Amino acid sequence: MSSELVQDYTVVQERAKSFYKNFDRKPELQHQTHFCPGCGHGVVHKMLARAIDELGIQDKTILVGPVGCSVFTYYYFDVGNVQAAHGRAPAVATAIRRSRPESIVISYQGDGDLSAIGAAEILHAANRGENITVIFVNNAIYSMTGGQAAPTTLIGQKSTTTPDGRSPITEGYPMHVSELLATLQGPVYIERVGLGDNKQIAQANRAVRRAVENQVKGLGFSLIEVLAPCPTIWKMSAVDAQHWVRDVMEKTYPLGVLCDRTKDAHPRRLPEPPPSLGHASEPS
Amino acid sequence: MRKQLMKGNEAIVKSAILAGCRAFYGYPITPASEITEAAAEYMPRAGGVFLQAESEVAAINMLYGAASAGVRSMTASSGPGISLMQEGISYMAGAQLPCVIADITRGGPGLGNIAAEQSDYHQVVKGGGHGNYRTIVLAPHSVQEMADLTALAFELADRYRNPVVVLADGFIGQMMEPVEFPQIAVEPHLPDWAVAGTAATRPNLITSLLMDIDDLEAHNRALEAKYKIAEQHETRAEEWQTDDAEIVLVGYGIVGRILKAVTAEARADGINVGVLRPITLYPFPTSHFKRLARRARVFAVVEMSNGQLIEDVRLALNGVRPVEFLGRSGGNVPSHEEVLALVRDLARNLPRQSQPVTAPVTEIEEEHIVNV
Amino acid sequence: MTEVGKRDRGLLRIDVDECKGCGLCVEACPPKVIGMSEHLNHYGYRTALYAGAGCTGCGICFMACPEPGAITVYRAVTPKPGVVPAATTGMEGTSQCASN
Repeated sequence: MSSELVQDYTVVQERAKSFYKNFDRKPELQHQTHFCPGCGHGVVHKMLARAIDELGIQDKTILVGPVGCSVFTYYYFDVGNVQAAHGRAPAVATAIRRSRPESIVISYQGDGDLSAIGAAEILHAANRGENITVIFVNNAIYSMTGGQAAPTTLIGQKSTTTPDGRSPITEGYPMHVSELLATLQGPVYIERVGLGDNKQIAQANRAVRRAVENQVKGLGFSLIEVLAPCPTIWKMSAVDAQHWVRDVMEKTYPLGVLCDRTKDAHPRRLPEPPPSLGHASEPS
Repeated sequence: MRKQLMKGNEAIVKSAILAGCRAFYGYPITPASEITEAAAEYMPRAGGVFLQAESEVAAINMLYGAASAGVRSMTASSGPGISLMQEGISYMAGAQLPCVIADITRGGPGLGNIAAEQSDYHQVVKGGGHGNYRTIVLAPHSVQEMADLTALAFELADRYRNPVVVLADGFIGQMMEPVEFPQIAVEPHLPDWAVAGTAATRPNLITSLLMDIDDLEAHNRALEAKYKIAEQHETRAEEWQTDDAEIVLVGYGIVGRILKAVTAEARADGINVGVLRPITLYPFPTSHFKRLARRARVFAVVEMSNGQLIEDVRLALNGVRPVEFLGRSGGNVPSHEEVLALVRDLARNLPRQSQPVTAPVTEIEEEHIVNV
Repeated sequence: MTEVGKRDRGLLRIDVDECKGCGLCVEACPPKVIGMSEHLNHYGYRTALYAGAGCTGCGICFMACPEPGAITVYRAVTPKPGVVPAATTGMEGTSQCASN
């Protein structure tokens, strides 16, 4: 297409501003993410970056990154970045938010990070109703370490640690994190979305935006569970993996809003500025 | 400010707040729970954040978050809880985050008991977490030192961007003594490396991950260089009647007080005994040992453990003088009588002064010596 | 250009170096105007390729694509004096910024 044609057109979809212009992870890959072709993380990253752009919170945002395939969030998102230990992002996010109440704190985690080793941390952050946003990317497997079973692995699904397929007798049942957390009184918004087809992707985009917006409004704890494809570990093409999310994963993990208390939630006011102790008088 | 009568565990919190600490995340554990309780009481009044975490694992990661956001933060626990925190401590050392961790020790290993022991030395001084890092360790032996060393801990943590441990035992935590606090409180300020949700701090990154092997080696070297500086400038020890001591007793925390009392009695009997009480366990006050080794003929380490501090004493002396040991554990405290008997025994069997000190004593750099 | 004098409602640009050839855009595109190239890019991926005509500017390919900047979608500016039309794709929150 010649450039003079482009002048007749206006951009409607382009790279989000909240991504770094250059990715410094490797000098020879400045414009490539490390994600596999067709990885769900890439899609979710774009949704999150767009939400940050649209809400105008790039300076205020602090992104707490996990351990897993998405460990490199800090190479991609041009916001304040804190890389956390495996599973601990909700605890790290809790402390950041409480000490910096004007900031917008987002925790981005995979299914091993959040539902296995981080089960206690997410449970209690949700129970306390911390005013944070959690993006939970669920691909039913441990991808970064080569395909071990996760708490969210489906019955019968083969993995390197369930070579005969997950059995309820030995490995228990797939964990429904969104439903579990929705039983708590703390969270104000929990939704499960999927990347299974165009319509679902559009809904996922809206949900991610909503979860961040809830925090901007000071409403409380929001979590979006995104059922995401992992073509490499599932040993499928990207398109087949997308279909597997829609046709197989969603039979175990139905999409929908699990909890919406935003109408009744009172926006939290910022705390008063602390007293200056200055000259320490007699402590009471 | 006039002196106040206060428990060690409470003095820590007041001192922390006056030192600018504005975040406390803790989990109940005997004998440290009062620290968390005092923090619940005082921290919000000072405009800080207090939260009882769901576990020590969560608590140390909350410290990681608070420190990332540029806030002076603290936690308190005992041996089993500190064990749970080791991953987080390693992460904080790797990410170069400051924090203060109070370890009020108890009997171990495992669940042990709730009586006092000094068996966390290896865990905190040698580093219980993975990787090439150290934590600065300060060992108070009085309520006043609980307060003073806590304030110092925050300074050192920020100066070296590293976790600092205040290592006490149940006795020091529970005893009540007069304590004096500083007149002027330290106001919190935002370090320029923090991630605080502002335009200025947006480019900042807190991480301990360096995939490139050369980058990580360089980082390890940088941490090492930092610790070398601390080793030169931050050692502290108390020397009690050591000028002419032929027997030097070594101990820290509550044991230091026992050793001073025994010294007084033994001196009355004409025995030339003195006490070297390390205040910084890391960096270890090696030069004190080397200097005292010129005159002393034997060192005796007294610990409430099976022998942890003694390894560093042996390392410091490097074989120039014999090192004897008296240890109790399980919550038993070396009694005045036991230690005195050891001193008398050593006095009767002093090694001859014929061994010259072969290892040269390096020149003593800037140190903090309390001579009495 | 579908016909002489009539242009497409939309225009699609694919960054050949960033595309990893996953094919999700091919699957997603409603008018099916995206295919796969015969050629490999510098990294060995067979990249996506716009057919050259028929793009409606809906932007669905952009949302399906896992890469931040592999796809840029344009929409034709309706020649109305002094007014730039608002984007109406049915997808919330589309960015309406000038191309940089």
